[in-house]
Amino acid sequence: MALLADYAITPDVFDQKSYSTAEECEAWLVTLRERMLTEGMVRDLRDGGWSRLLLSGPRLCHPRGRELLNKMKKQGRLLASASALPDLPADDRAWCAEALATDEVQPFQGGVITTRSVKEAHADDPRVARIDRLWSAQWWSSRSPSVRLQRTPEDYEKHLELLLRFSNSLRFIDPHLDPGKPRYRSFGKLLQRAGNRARAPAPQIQIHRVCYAGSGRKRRLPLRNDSLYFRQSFDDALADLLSAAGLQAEVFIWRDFHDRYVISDLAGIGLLNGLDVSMAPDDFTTWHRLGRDDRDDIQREFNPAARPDDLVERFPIPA
Amino acid sequence: MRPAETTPERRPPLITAVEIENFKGIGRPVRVELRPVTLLFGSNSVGKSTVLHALCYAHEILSHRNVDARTTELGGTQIDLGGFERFVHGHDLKRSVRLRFKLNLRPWRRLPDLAGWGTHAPVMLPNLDIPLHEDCDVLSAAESGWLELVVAWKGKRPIVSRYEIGLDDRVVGCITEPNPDGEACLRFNPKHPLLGDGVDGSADDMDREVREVCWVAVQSARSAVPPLDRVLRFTRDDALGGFEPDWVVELEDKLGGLKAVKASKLHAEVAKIEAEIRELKDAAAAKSEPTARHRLSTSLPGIGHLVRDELVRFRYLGPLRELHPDVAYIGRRTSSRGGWADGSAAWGILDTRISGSAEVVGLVSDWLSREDRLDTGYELRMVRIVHLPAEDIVREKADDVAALLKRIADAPVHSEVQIVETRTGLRVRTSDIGVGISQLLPVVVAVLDPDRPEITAIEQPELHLHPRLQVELGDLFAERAARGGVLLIETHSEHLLLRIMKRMRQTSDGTLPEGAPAVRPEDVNVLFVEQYDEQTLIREMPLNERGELVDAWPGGFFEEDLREIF
Repeated sequence: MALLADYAITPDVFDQKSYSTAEECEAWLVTLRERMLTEGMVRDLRDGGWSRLLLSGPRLCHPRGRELLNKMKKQGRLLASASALPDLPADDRAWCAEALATDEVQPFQGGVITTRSVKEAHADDPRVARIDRLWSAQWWSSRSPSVRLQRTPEDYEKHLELLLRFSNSLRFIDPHLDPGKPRYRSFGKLLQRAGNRARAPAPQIQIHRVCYAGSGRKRRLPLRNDSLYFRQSFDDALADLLSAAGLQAEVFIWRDFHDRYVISDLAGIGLLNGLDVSMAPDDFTTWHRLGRDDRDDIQREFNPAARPDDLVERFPIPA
Repeated sequence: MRPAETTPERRPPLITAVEIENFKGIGRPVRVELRPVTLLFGSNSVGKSTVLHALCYAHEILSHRNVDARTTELGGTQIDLGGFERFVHGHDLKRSVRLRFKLNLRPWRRLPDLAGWGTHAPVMLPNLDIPLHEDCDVLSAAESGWLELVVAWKGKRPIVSRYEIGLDDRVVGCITEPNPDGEACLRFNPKHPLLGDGVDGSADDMDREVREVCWVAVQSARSAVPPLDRVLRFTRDDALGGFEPDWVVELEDKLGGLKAVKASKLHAEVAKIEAEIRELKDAAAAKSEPTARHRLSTSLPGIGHLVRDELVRFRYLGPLRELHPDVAYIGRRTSSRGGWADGSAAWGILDTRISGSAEVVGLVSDWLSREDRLDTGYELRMVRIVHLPAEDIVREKADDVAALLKRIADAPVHSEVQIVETRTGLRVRTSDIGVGISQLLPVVVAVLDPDRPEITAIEQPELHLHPRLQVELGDLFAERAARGGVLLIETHSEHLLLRIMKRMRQTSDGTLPEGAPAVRPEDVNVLFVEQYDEQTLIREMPLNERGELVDAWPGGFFEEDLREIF
């Protein structure tokens, strides 16, 4: 399972009448809040018609639900999803059908969340789950704060897909990231994926690394011409690719750091290894999702304003 | 009918960014880039206002040489810096307060005229092969520059220990603290293009290039700030002058080589060469070529002069505006720089007898009353008051209307601005209009004033305002900022920001309603201020062209309400 997943939610989930008591409705909305504001994204079906129906349309929406939707909207967690069926959904079952139709175009990393009455119409469809039985859906219960993956470009792209497609900012933080080196050659593909997406505008991309090469006993002190080398290496490897994808990136060279992350406005991911790939077929690594506070801390830590003395230089690519 | 606006094309601000170090809660250097709408967000007591206070303090130094400022002219009663011992970061007297202003010099092709210009004979720098520029227009080629002030505690008082000028990313020179004899030391960069066609050097070479030293006279021994209205007086000419141009040496060599000339011809030869020297000297004097010394002595105080002038115009509107001006109608207020701090100067702006005009009144009224703007339920009305004693009217015969009209026509008249309730047309007193509106009005006036300075700073414009009005403030700021200048806003208002974000999205989508201001990412700078490592940290929170936050807002974007609701 990916560390970030997208879902669809039928409107009845936000309607207090769908539940036996108001307390039950509130309790399930709390469940949604926890997941959606940290690791979830919701397809805003019918080009935003779904959220308009709930936020400004006639559909009843519990105040907590309304607030949750507003926050998700401000955080960029509502993903405008093109209409997949010809007719505007007339009821909750139709909204569920619309959601499932979008799955045919772009498969969910999560699934469709609904209430009992709608689930009855899709009883055998594992992509649809009742909010009060979410634990029974494999795509919900199997979610984990960490994931094991192979150190291959394909696995990296798969687990970063939603971030690459929908983030407004992407910080790749890896002390040894050097796209000129063979083991980092596939890094450019990740950037290409970030450019090749429907959501505009292009994300702001930052790449952070240290000013020296090697590590441990093989660590080599920075040389006078390292700056030139890094500029050349990043530009040679990425400039054309970024230009073709309509992207720009900025490279930050720091005195020192050790940890590896991918930080975006939607989520933060800690990487045990860097973004380099391995040719060994059984070479696995572990990624973990960061809590929001930790993500905020790391975002700050890699902001030049917070550590101006530790920043050696920064430069754009293309130059 | 909407009032006609005659707001002239506004010159871009001189100051484009401010860097602050060791001032109040700010320890490590923070940099604030000023864009048309610059918004400072953050919790209470994290240092948002410090940025605004730093500008007021710089004004004190440059305008009044008030280095140990407690109160400030611009801050009025709203800012109490408490003196250097209080405002230096951590109350640590070993630290130096540093203020650096990044400048956009493109609109300033000439420095202000300084007294004494042109009185210096053209001389070249010693031992440096630097050709002279042909005119005195030292800024003609400069795109950008900076002014840096460093204030340090010396003995028993703070002094400006360093005053530095740079142009186009290279330091020109700096004046450092006076020696015991009261002379300040000038270091300059002889390779700076300002001083001639110097050799290009990298930033790393900059410090090494700043190697020439001479002594300059400053107004007093207490500060390194040069007198901004005068050229500097160099007291050791051997460092910067006292060197004859090459052609003088050549001709004088000729004179020395006349030994072999026959005595009969000697007089004529000497006279000829002396005439040649005189001619060349006269020509040089007529050209009044500026020397490197001229350039240094004008650019150092001159750029400070520019910054000072911009800060003199700087408008600071504090967080607590005067609640109810004690008048039955607007007016009877004088406009002064300090009066802006409590908002009282705004009332003066509306008073046509002082500085106001029908245009300002119309603009303010329009924004206050229109449904698609602030829609406060009030408008301003300018009325003409005729001063005619009641006895005079009674004295006239009832049927002698012509005589009465003549008396009225001859009576003294003045214009007066009144606040009127839009719905009823009733005139109201300032105390009748509610706290929110009384707090809002100075903000509206400060922003709409056609004579608004390059930088207007406002603390908490949303004070006491309903969220709907806070949203509309976003439009007011965006619309005005598009006409030039910088609005530096310290705020807690999510609503204000949401409106600006919405306008950015609409601008990008092409769905901007008619009359709504277009906003682009380069028009707005959202700054997040927080305490980090026991110091103030200021980070930019960029918005993309759709008005979306590029980075995650620390702690969630105004999620306090979410936490309360859940």
